[in-house]
Amino acid sequence: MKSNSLIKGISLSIIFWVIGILTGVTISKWSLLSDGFYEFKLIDIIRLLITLSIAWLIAFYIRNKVNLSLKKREMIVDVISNFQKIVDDIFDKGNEYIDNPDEKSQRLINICFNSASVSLDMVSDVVGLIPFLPKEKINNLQSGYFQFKASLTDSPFGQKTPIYTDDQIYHFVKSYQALTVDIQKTKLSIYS
Amino acid sequence: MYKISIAKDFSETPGARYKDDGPFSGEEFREIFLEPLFENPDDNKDIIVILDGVEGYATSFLDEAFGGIARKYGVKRCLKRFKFISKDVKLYVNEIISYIKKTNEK
Repeated sequence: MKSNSLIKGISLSIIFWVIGILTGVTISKWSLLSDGFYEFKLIDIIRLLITLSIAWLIAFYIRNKVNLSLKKREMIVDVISNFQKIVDDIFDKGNEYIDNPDEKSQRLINICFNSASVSLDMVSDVVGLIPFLPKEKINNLQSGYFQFKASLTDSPFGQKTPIYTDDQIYHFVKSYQALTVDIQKTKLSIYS
Repeated sequence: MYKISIAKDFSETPGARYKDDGPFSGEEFREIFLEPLFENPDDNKDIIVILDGVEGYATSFLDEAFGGIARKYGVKRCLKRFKFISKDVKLYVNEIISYIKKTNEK
C-alpha cells in the first residue's frame, strides 16, 4: 500500500515537473520573460527544491496518519456493533423465554450472555488502545450491561415455573433501552 | 490457599439461585464449597476460584453464591480472601465483585 502511494507521488511529481519545463520553454519562446528572469542562483534552486520536498513529505505523512486513525476508529465501531448484535439477540430470546420459559432457552440465554461478556471484554481491550476515549464510557457500558443481564437472569430465571411480574418485564425492557443508548453514545464518541 | 474450579468441582452448567429452583444452584455451591472456608474466623487463607469452563453464569447464581457469602461474612473479608481467575471471560471477575460490593448497599 505504502509503496503504491510512493510510486503514485513520484509519478505525479515527474509529470508536473515536465509540464513546468514545457510551460517555461513556451513562455520564454514568446519572449514574455525578461532576460533577468533566468539569472537564478544555484542556492535558490536548491532551497526551492528542499522546501517542495519537505511540503510533499509532510502532506504524505499527514494523509497516512489520518487514514490509519480512521481505520482504527472503524475497527472499534465494528467491535462495538458486534456487541450490540448479541445484546439485541438476547433481548429477543429473553422475550421468548418470559412468554414460554423452558430449560433449553434458559441454557441458550446463558450461552448468549457468555458470548456478550466476551464481546464486551473485546470492546474494553480495543478501546484501551485509543487515548481519546474517556474510560467512564466503558464503565457505563459495563454497569448498563450488568443491569440488563440481572433484569433477565436474576430470579425467577431458572426456576421450574418462572413467572416474571409486570415490574420485572418493564425493568428488562428499560435496561435494554438504556444499554442500547449507552452503546450508541460510545460509538458516537469514537468519531467525535 | 484453597482452590475451587466451578466447572471441574461443581458443574459446567451452573443453575439458578436457590436449591428449590433446580440442580447446581448458587445456594448449593455456597453451602458446599464456600461456607466451610469461612466458618473459622481465624482462617484468612486465599481462596482461588476458577471461573472458566462453564456454559455461562446467571446473575441469580453469582449473586447467591458470592453476594450471599458476603452478606453472611462481610464484604471486606470476602474481597480480601477471594482471588478470581477467568481467562475466557475477564468480565466475570468485575461482575462478581460488583455483587459482593452491592451487599453493602442492601
